Amino acid sequence: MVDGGNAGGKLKLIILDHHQLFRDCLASALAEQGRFEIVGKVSSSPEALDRLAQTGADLLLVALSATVDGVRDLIEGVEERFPRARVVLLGHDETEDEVLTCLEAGASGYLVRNQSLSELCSALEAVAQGDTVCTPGMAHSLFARLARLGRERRRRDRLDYLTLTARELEILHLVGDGLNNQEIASRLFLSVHTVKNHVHKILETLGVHSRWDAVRYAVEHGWIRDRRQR
Amino acid sequence: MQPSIAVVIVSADRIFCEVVAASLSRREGLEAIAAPGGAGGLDLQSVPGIVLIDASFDRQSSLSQTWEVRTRWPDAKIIAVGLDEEDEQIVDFAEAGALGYVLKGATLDEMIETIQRVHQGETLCSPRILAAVVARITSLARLGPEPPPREVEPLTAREREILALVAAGLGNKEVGRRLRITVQTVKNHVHRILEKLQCHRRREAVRLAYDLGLLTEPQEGPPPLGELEFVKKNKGELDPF
Repeated sequence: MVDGGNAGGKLKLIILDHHQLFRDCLASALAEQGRFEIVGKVSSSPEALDRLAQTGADLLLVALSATVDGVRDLIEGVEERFPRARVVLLGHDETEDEVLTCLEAGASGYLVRNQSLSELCSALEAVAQGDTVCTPGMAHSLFARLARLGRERRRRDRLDYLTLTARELEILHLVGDGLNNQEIASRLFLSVHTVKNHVHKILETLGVHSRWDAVRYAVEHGWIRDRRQR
Repeated sequence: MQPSIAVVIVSADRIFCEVVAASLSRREGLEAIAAPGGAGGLDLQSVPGIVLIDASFDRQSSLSQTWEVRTRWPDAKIIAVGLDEEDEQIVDFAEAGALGYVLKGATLDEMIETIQRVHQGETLCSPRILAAVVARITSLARLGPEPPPREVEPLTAREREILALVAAGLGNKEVGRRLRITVQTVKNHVHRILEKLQCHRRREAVRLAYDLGLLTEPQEGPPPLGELEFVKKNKGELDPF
């Protein structure tokens, strides 16, 4: 959520672009929309940071040029010194990696020039609210990136089943199948007392309070299948 | 003529599956199949392009389904269907593999548009959810990558064999019986393995072996119940770790 900000007032916007003509045109088009107050038109990162310090702007719109190198430093600089300000990148054919790096470094949006002025305005307003915007293609890549990281996490979680002994895991399987202690005891040729001890140890190891919480934990971590549906 | 997009519908609700499959199949360019039994219950000629997972009912189960579909059909693109607008569980589904989502209350046309977009490599996403996705990426990226494995002395074939049996849950006695060697020999081997891997406990050694790729990781989590059945033959306490 936006902190402070201009409820009802205009959003203060700085534009960073080497191309003066484009920058000036964009500035007047956005100013005309009525929602934005252009408080800076700059052509370098140091200028942008200075302007932010002077104006306390809400948004910094950065038109990307040939290289994206300096942009990452700029984003990190803004994050550090002006945490309230949001950085939006305006590009046209950056690679997926370049864009993802910027977004993960703290940029709040990546837009391309090939869109309408009103789309740009809605995007800037969403960003001012604390949200993130980017092209559908980049969004797809972000989802794919999250899926890959999720898979790695899951792999680590799966191996965590080693926190339980083989016997405990076996018992957990059977609890998940719906067997009670007596049934588990018969199945495994153990005494009910032993089974109870094992169950107790499982709950303790996993830090849960009930057998069903233990089963849910195991299912969430991918140790056992959720058999209840079948 | 462009090939049809093959869509599989997964839901615990059979009617949902069949109705959605029928509606989608009526549209040009889409071929849909109902899979009320989940990914496991379906034998397809070709890999589906898109899998719709009904996320409107039992979240935990839908998330498990998503993981299963991902394992079964790694190239299929998953779409989670039926979530609420403000639901940050969309991010959990993204983590599980969903590349797009359809909200509760969406129209059939909206669902079809999402299918076509995802198929083309695009995801329509609200700025709020996108911010949550980036936040989750940032926090997960912080957890890894895992530290590079330390240098360890290579294990002999016999040692690896024994470690694999220990990983499957066998105790020293069982390992000895399986390999027709004495318990003392097994213990010596295990001791040597722990030394080489610089671990104090068998459990640590097994974990490290997986991390280093010395043992093949179980595909679907821990050894299935069947492989553990042998332990019931052993009357006493079995605690290899």
